[in-house]
Amino acid sequence: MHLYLNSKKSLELKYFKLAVENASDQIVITNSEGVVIYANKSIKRVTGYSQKEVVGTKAGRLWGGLMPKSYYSKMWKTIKVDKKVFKGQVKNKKKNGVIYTAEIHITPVLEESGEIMFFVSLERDITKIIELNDAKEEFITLASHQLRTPLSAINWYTEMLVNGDVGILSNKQFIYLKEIQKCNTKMVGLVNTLINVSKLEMDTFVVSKSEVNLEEIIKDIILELTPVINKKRISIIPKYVGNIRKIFSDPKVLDIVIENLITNAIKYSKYRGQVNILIKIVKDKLFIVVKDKGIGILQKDKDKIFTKMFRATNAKNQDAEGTGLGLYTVKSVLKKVGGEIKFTSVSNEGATFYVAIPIK
Amino acid sequence: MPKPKVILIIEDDESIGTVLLEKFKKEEFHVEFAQDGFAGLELALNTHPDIILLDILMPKMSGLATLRSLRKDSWGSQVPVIILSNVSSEKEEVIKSVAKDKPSYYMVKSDVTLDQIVGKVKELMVV
Repeated sequence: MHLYLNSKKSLELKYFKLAVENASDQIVITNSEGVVIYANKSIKRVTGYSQKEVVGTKAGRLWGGLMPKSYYSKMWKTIKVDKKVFKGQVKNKKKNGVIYTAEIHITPVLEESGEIMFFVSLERDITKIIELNDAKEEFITLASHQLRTPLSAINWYTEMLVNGDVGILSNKQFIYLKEIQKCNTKMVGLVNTLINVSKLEMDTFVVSKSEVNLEEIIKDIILELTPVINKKRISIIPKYVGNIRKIFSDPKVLDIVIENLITNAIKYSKYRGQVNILIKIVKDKLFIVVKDKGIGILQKDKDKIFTKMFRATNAKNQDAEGTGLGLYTVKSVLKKVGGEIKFTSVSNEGATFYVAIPIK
Repeated sequence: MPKPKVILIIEDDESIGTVLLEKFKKEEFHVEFAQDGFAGLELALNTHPDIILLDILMPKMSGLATLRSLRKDSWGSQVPVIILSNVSSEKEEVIKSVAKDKPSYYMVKSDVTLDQIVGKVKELMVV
């Protein structure tokens, strides 16, 4: 150890000290027993206790202690026994009694011998961030509810009229109502897509896996698409390899991915076209292949088809009303489950999309 | 003539409530109707319907709270309930998990036709 420091070193040290002292996150240094040796200025703003009040007390004694005992014992084991960094979210209590949520990182600083020299703990008050996330969640819930409720009412009244539940309709009345029904169904699809995209963008899309009957999901999707399939005289040829009735995955994700791929395959098929669906399980992976013989993807559009709001030139000509959100949503939800998507296509001959999803 | 089956519809939205009511009358059900969870629960426990259609987002008492109270009753623990909702996002997960405790089922309003709802109700009546 040097007994004195030269002026350059001491200046450097001064900067370090000022940086730590004035950092916006709460920084606490404790000895190996967890007794506070140092706390920076932010301790006052975050916990309400002054630097003087906390030095000499056991870290967290004043502002912590709200979590179950097992939480703290796990924390101590991580930093003291395993000598690793502990990261977590804790509920703490300010001096004035207000509860807040903090994100904490505690790092053990070791001697060369491996002994613990001291602990450094960084804490950040994330109460506002959590509130904001809840608000986003609430917004999506309400928006989806408010948008879908009138659409459901329109749907059901139209259905009763079309079914002749309230009297026989003239031919023209029937055709017009069918038109209303078609537009309304489109609107429901659009709202669902927008909700999914908002969830993805606001990062509130949560993956929850369960046992899924994929055959059932695909059956429902095809059933829903029957009107278009019949209108264009498309033949859909599904092939399943392996037990796809019991898959451990997120049903929402599978539904979004497969529905979009099949819808696109039908939409961009030619009259009397053919769509092949192959679902295959190999080890811990689910493979989905959807192949059409439609208009295909132009070379110049190939690197853009997963981009939000992008619509391929030939796709626009075929169907003017697409949103440009389908493949973007597919790629985004796949990312959430560690899945991948790629495609091959020759313009005017068709396109094949390949998806792989881990299912363990 | 067999006694008509009794269906209880708990729904706060007037347009939705009316069309469900009309449809099930047309299908020759006897329809009971409540516009919030609190009134719905009371009506359910008093009239013991054969099946319940339950909305989620409602004033006074939410559909999930209604279902929880209903399931505490010995008759109420057995009655089939179809949760009919347009709620999306994570709440959907909660509702789906609730619906796993049979005899509860879950349908998204905007994704089903009236005929599909009637079909589900009839399917549950046969059992």
